[in-house]
Amino acid sequence: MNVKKIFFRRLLPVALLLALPATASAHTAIGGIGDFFGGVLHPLTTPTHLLVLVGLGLLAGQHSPSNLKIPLSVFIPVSAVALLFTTTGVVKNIYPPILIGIALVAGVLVALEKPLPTVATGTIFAFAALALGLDSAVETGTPISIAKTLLGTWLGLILAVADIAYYLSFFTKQKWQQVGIRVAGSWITAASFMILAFALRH
Amino acid sequence: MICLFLLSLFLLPATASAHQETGTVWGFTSGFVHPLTGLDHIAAMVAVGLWGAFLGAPAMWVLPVVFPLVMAFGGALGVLGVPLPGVETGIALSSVILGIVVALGARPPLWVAALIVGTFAIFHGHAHGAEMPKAANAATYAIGFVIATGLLHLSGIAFGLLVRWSWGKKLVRLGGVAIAFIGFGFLFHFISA
Repeated sequence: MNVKKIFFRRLLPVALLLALPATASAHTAIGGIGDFFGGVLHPLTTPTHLLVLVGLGLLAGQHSPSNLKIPLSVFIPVSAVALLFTTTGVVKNIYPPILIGIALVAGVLVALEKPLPTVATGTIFAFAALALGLDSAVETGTPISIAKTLLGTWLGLILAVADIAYYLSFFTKQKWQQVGIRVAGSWITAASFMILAFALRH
Repeated sequence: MICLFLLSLFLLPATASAHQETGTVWGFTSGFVHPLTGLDHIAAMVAVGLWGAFLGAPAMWVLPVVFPLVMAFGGALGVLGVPLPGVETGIALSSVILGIVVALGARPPLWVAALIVGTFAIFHGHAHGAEMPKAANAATYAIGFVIATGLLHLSGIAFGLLVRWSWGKKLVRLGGVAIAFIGFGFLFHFISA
């Protein structure tokens, strides 16, 4: 099937999904959509998480589809372990500059467009998965609702990174596409740097 | 399909921002609108894109990459309350200088162009950082103004691509003259104030 068709078929539902919480957020974080979908949308509606996920997606998808295997095979289990660890109550959330710093690193690497050794890429994804997972603790609710929310969050994290990386890897052949990705990387870097300054001010 | 996608964008933040001017959505809106509400900002951003397009590759994409990176540094200074003298004058001067180089079709080495653009980016970033509304969500404010700045660069590049034709080259240079005049206007305003 045409790549463009696939792209838009997937992009449209995602765009609609992203459009939903804006209306709901006038009253509660995400009201009335249930624990599971609340969890799925959590990473997409938390600006710093979204910034990290887009940065990681760009980083993984920038080179070729074959480069996706290692980052994702690290990201998936580490994020699951981190999310499960939040149920112990030891960590409620993490120091915000850590997450923003990860987005900053991802943005710089995308802007530079330097292929990294597999170990380095894996390490970045492991740190990111750990930070995102630990920062997604569910503080109240029954064990079932917490489990549903965490499962949804886990899927949300994976889908965001994997979708961006996978579809992006089809758009890296032309020079202008590579430039576009690098420009996006510079935007992520700039936004992260500013947010880091805000976080440090507080 | 594309139309449906574009229509879906209309579902975005209207209800949330109707209640109070705080939070995630308003932070983004506020950040996004900030570079668009000052003619001096707009003129300089568009000039960066125009000059990049005039210089051709790799300057066409190096300048719009350098600008937000250095602008973020200036923005951080503004957020942290580090004073920078003559911010408004620097912003006005950026329109003057960038307008003139576009009008003249100046082709300096890439590092010189990047240095000029980067220097002015600090003033623009400082203004964005220092003027952030206290109630706005910091993360979405930063994301909003970086995206708006980038889109202004892209519009400058799009206009600048007319240099492929001889009449387009004249039009782009004329654009540079207009930007320089706008900059002069702001400059005289700040000097006389």
